[in-house]
Formats: sequence, structure tokens, C-alpha cells
Amino acid sequence: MSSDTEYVTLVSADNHKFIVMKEVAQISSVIKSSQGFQEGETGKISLDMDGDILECIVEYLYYHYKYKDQAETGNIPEFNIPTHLALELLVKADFLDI
Amino acid sequence: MSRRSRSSGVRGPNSALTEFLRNAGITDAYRQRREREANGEIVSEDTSVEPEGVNVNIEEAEEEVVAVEVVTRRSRSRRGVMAIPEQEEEEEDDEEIRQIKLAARRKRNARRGKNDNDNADEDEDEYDPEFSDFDDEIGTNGTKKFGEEDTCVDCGKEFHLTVYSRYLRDKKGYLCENCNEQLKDRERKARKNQLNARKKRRTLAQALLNKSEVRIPKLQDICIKKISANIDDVEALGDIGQVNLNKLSQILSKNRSLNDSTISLFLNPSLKSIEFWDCSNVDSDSLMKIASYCPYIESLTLFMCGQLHNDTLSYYNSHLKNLKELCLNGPFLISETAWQEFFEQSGSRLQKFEIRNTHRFSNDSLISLLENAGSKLISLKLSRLDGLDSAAVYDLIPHYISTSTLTHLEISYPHNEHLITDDLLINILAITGESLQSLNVDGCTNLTDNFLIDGISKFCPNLTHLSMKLLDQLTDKGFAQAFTEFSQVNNGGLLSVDLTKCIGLGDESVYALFKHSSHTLIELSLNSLNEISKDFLIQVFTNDLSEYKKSIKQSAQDDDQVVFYNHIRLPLLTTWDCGFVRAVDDEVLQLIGKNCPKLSVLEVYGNNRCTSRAVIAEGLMVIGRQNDSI
Repeated sequence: MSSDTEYVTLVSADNHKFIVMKEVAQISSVIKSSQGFQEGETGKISLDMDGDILECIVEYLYYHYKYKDQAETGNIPEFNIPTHLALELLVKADFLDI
Repeated sequence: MSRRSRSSGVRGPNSALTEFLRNAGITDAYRQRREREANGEIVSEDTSVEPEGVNVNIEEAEEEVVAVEVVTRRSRSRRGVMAIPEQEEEEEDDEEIRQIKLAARRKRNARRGKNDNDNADEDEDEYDPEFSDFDDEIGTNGTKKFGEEDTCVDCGKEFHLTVYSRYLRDKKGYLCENCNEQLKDRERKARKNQLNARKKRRTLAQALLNKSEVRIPKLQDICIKKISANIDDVEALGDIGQVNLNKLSQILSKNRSLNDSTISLFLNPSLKSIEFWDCSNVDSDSLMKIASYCPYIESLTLFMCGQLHNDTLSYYNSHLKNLKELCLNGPFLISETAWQEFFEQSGSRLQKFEIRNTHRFSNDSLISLLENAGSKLISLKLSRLDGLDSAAVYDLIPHYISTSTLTHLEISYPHNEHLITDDLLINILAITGESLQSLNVDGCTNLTDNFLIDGISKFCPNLTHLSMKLLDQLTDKGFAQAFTEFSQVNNGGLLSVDLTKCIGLGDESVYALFKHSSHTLIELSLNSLNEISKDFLIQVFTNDLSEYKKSIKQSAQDDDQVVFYNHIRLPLLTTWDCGFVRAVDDEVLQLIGKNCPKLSVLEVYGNNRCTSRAVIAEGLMVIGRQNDSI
């Protein structure tokens, strides 16, 4: 957990890069556990998914980060996903355990 | 005016109270005189306008007097009977009424001060109970009128006093417009916060009822929601994995949106197992599709399958060549003959058979099942079958099942309690008890201690799940004895035990159960075991080395009345229903939290000594306390 870099880079299969706060990325237990390996040193995590999917996932991670303390009040905005990505996103979300 | 009108015989419109006061002969002449005497000064102005003053007085008193009208009425009746002369009567009059009149009079004086500028009618309109005190203040200070300059009590700025200016009681002055706006803003926010807090409480209470925690939805849940919303447009779900597919089908079942069009999305030739938990909107043609689309199915679970027809079953019969497991809930259209036919053809393949909620599954159907499949069955579940009404047929079960093959057995809620006897179950257990992992005899109310002592405790070394709801004939002693013996046979321990409404059980049985299975129990229901005492619960969850336990141990040796219970920990217990065990209170809740580290759901419905003040371990959800209500 204690690392010099506060940010990690998530790389999609078609080479889109998303620089994300480490704390945010670690909401996904899969990303969190990958830190112990080579990915932890380079700060780069390659994920087998397209850029648009990854974008959605990064958006969700920040959404989760932003609202996690307010969940109890029940008035957090809904997170919207594009319908045509729903199926693929479901598979990837399952993979990332988010 | 009243007096004058009486003389002329012409009266304008007046209120009920004015009428009443006039009829009762109440005027304020006397009070005014007394006041004059008391003050020792005569206000000439006052006397000159007196008649009008009386009227205003009465009308205003009316507005305030509503609450004490009863009092006034009472005094009227008194007056009617005794006919006391007016003045004496006034003296006796309630202090309250005098106060009201006094207030009204002060108000009138204040108003008269303003009347120099404004006309009287407007004054009448602007009267507002909320500002009732403000007139007093004005009266005493004799200060500002509307339209004049005033200093804001908050920011100290000069401003024009208007009818909309707000008077602050605690600061005894008006607010300027800006400060008023700010104050309004603050009030609005406070109200909003209050609403939010209420909403939050409601969501939490609601979530508690659903046994879920309020949290951010997982991305997967969001996706599934989206997919199920658009399910009709999605041509093929494609490669999303069987796990997600099952999840999706469960969600659709939960929303009751599994229907003829959506069901085909889940049918895939490679499937070996299908579970649909709510088929009420799926007609028999679509149910047939299951067999034509997925011919290799080995396990089929259809719940609420009221639309399953005879011909559908015979279609399954001829097409599903690999079917080994069949679980149906509510197939009430399937006739006896159809069952017979099905068992004769497919019976030899069947390993698991579960049927619930149909009155058409008759004695002959069970015989047919036993004859054709009995020896191979590893799981047999029969629940709420009102067509099975012969004890002799139930008695056949032990003759057909083979030794040590059944792992799951459920015979619950029989048509009437005499069908299932101790002997029947003892016979079954004698044959197959060794392999049995789960046993469910819910609602077989004829069962007694013998079934436990001569059945379970002798023949079931591998039992892990035991459910026996509503067995009210079990006794505390018998259960305790059975479980003490049981530990000789079964030293693995039970994982889940349901003793809901076995109302004969008490401290000893629960202690025996804990002694045997405390280290393995994951789910436990002691619902309605009202005999359990608080003393027992506290002892069991208190360390043996504590002073309290030592003293109990000491006194238990001297006195036969006192029982000593060892300390018990339930390291794996995650779900516990102790509803209507009245001995459970805040203190016990705290101890439970300490001794059940994994406990996440604890139900305490009906235990009204469990309050919001209880100290609850982190991660433990306590459901059913009165203060959690929505």
C-alpha cells in the first residue's frame, strides 16, 4: 500500500491509458492484489478490455470513491451506463470484482 | 355597540362568541372600573371610546379564547343555574379568562396607537397569532410603526420597517430584509436536513428489513439492472458467463419478469442445469422449449410452475434423456396418471426428486416413484402434498430406499400430523441415517422425543443440517438427552439447526445443542423458544473464570436448584434467529456480540427489551427492534 506513487496507470487493450488515483483503483480487489507483483513496481496495469469499457469502469470507480460515505442517506445519483456496453461491462465488472 | 343595538333593535352581524358574551351579560365595564381604581388614574380617552372598545375586545378575545371555550361554557351553565348578579359573578370568573381579556385589551391599546396612521380594517387583517407577543412588546416600548426607520437587531443597519419585517422575540427587535432572508435560508436548510435525516432513517430501516446493508451498488448490479430493463431488445446475451446468466435469471424471477420472451434468453443447448424460480408467467409452450432447446439437461428446477401441463411433462419425459434431478414447486396441473407415466419411463434415471405444493401428487404417485426410483434416490423432498393421505404409503418409504444412499430427506407439512410417526422416521433413519446430511421434518407435529432419542441420536453420524419447525411435542429433557447421546455418534457437529416454535424446549436443550455443535454452527433458529431464561444466556456467554461464574459454580455445588453452565463460544455462527425469546435483552445482545465473532444477522423480533441502547458488535445486523420501525 505504501508506495511513492499515488497514481496508477490503467492500460486498455487498445492502448488507452487512464491515470487513476491509487486509492480509487484499489476499490477493485483484483487491482489491489495485483500491486504486489510487477504491476506494483511499474505502476502500470494492463487490462484486457477496450478503451470505452475501461472508461466506464474508471468512471464507476470514481463514482464509488466519491459517494461511498453518503450511501446511507440514500440520495446518491444513479450511475448510468450506455446500454450497448452493459453486457460486456458486466463481464469485466465481474472480473474486477466491483 | 352591543348595548346600543339592544336598545334600537337593529344589529349588525356578530360572532357566536359575541352573542354568547352578550347573552351572559358579560361586559368589561366592571373590569375597567377596577383597573381604574387600581391604577388610580383615569384615562379620559378610554372612557370616551368605551363602547367601541368593548366590541373590539370581545372579538379579539374570541380569537384567543377558543382553547378555553370549554371553561367559559362551564361557567355559563353555572351562571344559568345560580343567576348570580353580574358583578359578583365577574369576580368569581376564572383567572384565565381575565388574563385573556387583559391581553386583548393591551392589544387594543397598541392598535389604537397605530390607528393614527393606518385604518382599523387593515389592522384587523394583519393580526396573526404568531406575532401575538409582538404587540405586547410594542405596547410596552411604545416604539416603531410600519414604514418608519428601525435598526436591525442582528446586523445593526438602518432599514424601513414593513409588515413583512420579522420580529425576534429573544432579541426584542426587528430584522432587516437581508438578515431575514438569511434566517429564512437557514430555516429552510434546517428543515431540509430534518427531512434528509428522516429519509435516511427510513432507508436504513427498510434495508434492515431486507437484511441488506445500504451501500453503493456494485457495477455488476448496475449492469444487470440495465440489462433486465432492456431485456427485450437484447438479441443474445452472448458470452457473459453462466454465473452472471444465473444471476440475471434470478433477478428476473425476483422482479417477476420472467416470461415467454425472456425465458428463451437463458436456454442454451450446452446447459446441464436450469433453475427458474418463478415460472408463473411462463406458459406451457415455453416450458416445452426448455426440453427442445436444452436436451442435455441433467438438473431442472422449476418453481411456481402452475402452467406445467401433462403433455409438457411427457415431452420432458421423451426428450430429456439425461434428466437426473427434478425439483418442482406447485405443479398442480399434473395428474396422477401423468406422474405414473413419468416415473415409469424416467424413474430409473432420477436421483433427486423434490415436489411441493400440489394436491394431485397422490398415494399412487408416491408408490410409483418409490417403485421406479426409490433405490437410487439420493435426495427426496416431499412438502405440502395434500394428496398423500395414507400413512401406509408413507410407511413404504423405508422398504424402497436402499441402505445408506439418501443424503437429503425432507418430509414436511404433511396433510395431517398422524401420517408421520416416530416409528416411520426411526425406520427410515435406521436404513439410510448413515449417509444422511440434511433432514427436514418441519411441521410433522406428531413427532416426539422418541424420534430424537431412538432415531437421530443413534443413526445419523454425518448429519449437518437439521430442521424441525413446529415440533411442539419435544420436551426439554428429551432433547437434551438425545443430544448428549448424539455426541457419541456424531462428533462432527451440525452446521444449521432450525428449532423454530419447538416450544417445549428450554435451557437444557439449547445447552446440549451448544455443547455438541457450538464449534460448527453457522445458522441457528431458536425462534419462539420462550422457555429460555436470561440467566442461562448470561452464564453461557460469560467466561468461566469471571467472579460471577465462580460464585455460581460454588452455589451450584451447595444447592441443587442452581445450575452451572459452561462458557460457550460460537465461532462460526453467522445467522441467528432468536425472535420471541423474551429473555434476550440489551445485556444479552452485547454478550452475544462478544461470543459470536462471525455473527452478521441476528433477529430479535418480539423481544421488546432489545432497544436502541444495546451495545452491538461491529458488523452485526440486529433486525426487529421496535425502534427500527419505519
